[in-house]
Amino acid sequence: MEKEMNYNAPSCIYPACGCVGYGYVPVQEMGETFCPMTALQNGTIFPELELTICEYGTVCKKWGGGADV
Amino acid sequence: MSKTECLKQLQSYRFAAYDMLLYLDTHPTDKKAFAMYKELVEKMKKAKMEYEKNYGPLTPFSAAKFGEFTWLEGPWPWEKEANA
Repeated sequence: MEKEMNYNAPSCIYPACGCVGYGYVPVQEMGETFCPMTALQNGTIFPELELTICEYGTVCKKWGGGADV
Repeated sequence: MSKTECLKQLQSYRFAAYDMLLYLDTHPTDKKAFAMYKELVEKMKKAKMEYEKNYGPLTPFSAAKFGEFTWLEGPWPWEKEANA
């Protein structure tokens, strides 16, 4: 039986182990969304993707990043 | 609703629907996302009809819905009057 395509299958069986040599992108999970008017203002409907240029590339919001450093 | 508010409403629904479409590209089996997508597309269609009913066709193909060919009437989007 042809193996059913799993879109979220990680490229490495154990991405959590952070093994070198594998690239992977954590799969976005559906969470809150902005209302359309706010989304148009922010350039995205997903709050987690609303990043200013100075936030991106520094420590992410979860670990205290995001303040105007 | 004023013309600019009506257009902004349409733009916001269209933008949100398109962003949800991008999410569905990588999450085709996400039921909640698909339900939200359908809702946003519905709102977008209504907003477009509302705008066109009051302010004329937004695309040349929409002009086909009217009794006469009004596509050439009114200011072009890049003209000052269209952005008052």
